[in-house]
Amino acid sequence: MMLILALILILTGFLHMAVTINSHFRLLYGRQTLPHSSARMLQAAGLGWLALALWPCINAWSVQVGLVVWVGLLHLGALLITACLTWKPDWFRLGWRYVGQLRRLLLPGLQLS
Amino acid sequence: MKETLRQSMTWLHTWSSLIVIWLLFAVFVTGTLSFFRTEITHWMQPEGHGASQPQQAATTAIQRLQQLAPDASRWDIQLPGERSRLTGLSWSNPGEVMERRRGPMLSIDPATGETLDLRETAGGNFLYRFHFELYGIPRELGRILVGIASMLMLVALVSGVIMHRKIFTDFFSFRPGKKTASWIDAHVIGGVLALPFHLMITFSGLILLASTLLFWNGGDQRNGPPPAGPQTASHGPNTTPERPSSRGEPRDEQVERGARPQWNNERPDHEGARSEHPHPLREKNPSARHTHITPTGDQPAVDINAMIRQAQTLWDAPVNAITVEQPNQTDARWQLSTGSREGLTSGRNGRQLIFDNQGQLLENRAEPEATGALAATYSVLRVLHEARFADTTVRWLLFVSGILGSLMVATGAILWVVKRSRQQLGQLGYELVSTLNLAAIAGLLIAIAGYFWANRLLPAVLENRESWEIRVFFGIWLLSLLHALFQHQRQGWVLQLSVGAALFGLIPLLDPLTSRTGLWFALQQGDWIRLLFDLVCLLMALVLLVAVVYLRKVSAPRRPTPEPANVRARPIQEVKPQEITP
Repeated sequence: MMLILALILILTGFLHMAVTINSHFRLLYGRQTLPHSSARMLQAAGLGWLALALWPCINAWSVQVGLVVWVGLLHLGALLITACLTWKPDWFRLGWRYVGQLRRLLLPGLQLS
Repeated sequence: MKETLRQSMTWLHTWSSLIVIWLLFAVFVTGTLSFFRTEITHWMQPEGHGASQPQQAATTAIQRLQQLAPDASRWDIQLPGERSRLTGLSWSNPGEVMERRRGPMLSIDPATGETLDLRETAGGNFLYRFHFELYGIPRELGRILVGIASMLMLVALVSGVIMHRKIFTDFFSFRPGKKTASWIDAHVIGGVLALPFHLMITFSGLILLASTLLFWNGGDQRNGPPPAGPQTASHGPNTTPERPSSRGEPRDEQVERGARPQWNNERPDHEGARSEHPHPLREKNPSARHTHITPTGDQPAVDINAMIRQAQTLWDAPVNAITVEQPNQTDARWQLSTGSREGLTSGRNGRQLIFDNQGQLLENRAEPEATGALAATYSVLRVLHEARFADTTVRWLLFVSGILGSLMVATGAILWVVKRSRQQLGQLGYELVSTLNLAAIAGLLIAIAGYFWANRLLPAVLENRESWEIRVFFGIWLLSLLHALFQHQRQGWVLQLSVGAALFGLIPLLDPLTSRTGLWFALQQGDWIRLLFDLVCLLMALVLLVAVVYLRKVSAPRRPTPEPANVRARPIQEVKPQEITP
C-alpha cells in the first residue's frame, strides 16, 4: 500500500520534471515555451514530490532499507514516465491534468505560457 | 577544451566497455536473475511443488527431527516463507566432525512432514556462481576476469555520464524508429534512469571482488573488516563461536556463508550436500564434544509456536529459521532468527531470539552495530549487492533495475555496430563484434531458456544431473556462437531471437506438463513463486517477439539509405522476388 502511494508521489514528481523539458511541454501546450522562472518552480515542486515519496518508504520499511526502496522506485517511475511519453502521450496529458489541480493549489501564481 | 574532454571521454567510454561488453552482459543478466536465486531453484525442483503451506510448519519439522535424530547435538530448521515453500532440515550428531552444511540435508513437505525426493539441479545457484566466477576455469581467474570487467564498467559509467551532452533534456526521451538515435536513446534510458543502481552494483561488486584483484594484499580477505565480529563473541555456553555461519539464516545465505572459510579448496555446488573439511577450531576444542553426555530422558514440552508468536510480535517479521542446540536436553537452547532486517550497516547477521528449554526468552539479539565507519560501509555495499535486506517487493525493484542495466549493456554493444555499419561493413573487427554481439546477447538468452528446458526434460534421476544441465546451457550457447559465425546479420538475429522467444514462451506450457502439479493448482495454492517465474518467461518471450517483429519491419541498419527506414524496408525483404519475375 505504502509502495503504491510512494510510486504515485514519484510519478507526480517526475511529471512536474518532465513538463519543464521543452519537447514534452509542447506535447501539452502546443508551440509555446515555458518561461524560465516557471520551469525552475516546477522543478522545485517536482523535487518536493519526489522527496515526499521518501516518507511512505521509510514508514513501511526502516530508514536504511526505505532509502533503497525509494531509489528503486525512482528508477521504476522514470521508466514508466518515459514509456508513457513515448507510446501513450495521452496518458501523460491525463496525468498532467490530474496533477494540474494540485499544482494550481500549491503554485497558484505560476505562468505556464 | 570542453570538446576535447568530451571526445576523449567518448573514446574511453567506447573502448573500455567494448572489450568486456559481452562478459558484462552475461554478468548483468545472470546477476539479475540471481536476485531470485532460491525462487529459480524452487521452479527447478518440481517435486516440491505440491507442498501446502500450513500455519504450523515448525511443529511438523520438530516432530520429524524427533524421529530422525533425537540424539543430535544440533538441529537446524529452515521454515518455508516468502521465498521458499519447503521446510529444510539438517542436524549434526554428537561427536561427529563438524561439517559445513551446503543447504538442508533433507527437504520435507511443511504440512505432512513427508520427505521430498527433490531432483538434483544446479538451480539458481549456477547462475549465481556464474555471475562472479564464470564456469570451467579456475575460480580465481574467473573472479579476476569479472573484477576487471566491473572495473571497466565503472570507468564506462563515469565516462558515459561525462560524455553525455544533455543528460537532463533527454531524461525521459525515447525516439523510436530513428535508427542510430533510437539505439542511443535506449542505451541512455537503460543507463541514466537507473544510474544509482548501476553505480551501486558495479562499485559494490568491485569491492566484493577487490581481494582477488589486489593480489599483493596477502591472501584472500574476502571477509573484510569483521562486521560479524561483535556477535560471535556473545554466544551462550553451548554454542560454538567459530561457526557463526550456520546460525540459522534463510537457506541461500547459509549456503553461501558456510562456504567462506575454505573458499579456495572446494568446488561450489556441484558435489553433493556436504564437503568433508573438518573445522580447524572445532578440532582443537574437545570440550565441545563432552557437553552431550547428559541426556535427561524426559523432555519438557516446549511450545515452539508460542516462541514463534513472541518473535513475530517483537520483530513484526516472520521467523525464517530455528536452530536447536542440545535438543532433548535440559540445557537446550532454541534460537529463532529472521532474514528480514532493519538496517544495512549491521553486517550479514540478522535478528535472533534465544529461548531456553522452558520457552523462556533468554536473549534478544538485535542486529549488531557496525564496529566503525569502514565496517559499516563495507556492510552496506555487501548487503546491497547481495540484496540480503530485500523482501520480495524490493527484489522486484532490484530486478527491474538489473533489467535496465542489461538493456544498457546490450544496446551499447549493438550501438557500436550500428554506428559503424556504413564505413566498416566487411572489416574484420566489425564482423567480429557483430558475431560476438549476436552470440553474447541472443545466444545467452537462448542458453538460459535451454537451461530451464534441460532441467525439466532430463530424466529426474541421472548421474551428475547438475553437470548435464550446465552442459546443455553451454552447448546451446556454443551452437549459437557457431551459428553467429556464419550468419550474424539481421537474419541471424531474427532466427536466434525467434528461437529464444519460442523457448521462453513455451515454458509456461512445459511447466505444468513436467511438474507434479498444474498451474491451476499452483494458483489455488498461491504458489506465486512458480506462477511469477512462468509469467516472467512469458514476458521475456513477448519482448523477444517484439524484437523479431521490429527487425523484420525496419531495414537492415547497415544499409546506407538516405531515405527513411521503412520506405526501403519492404522492397529489400519481401517484394524483391516479385520485382524480378515480371
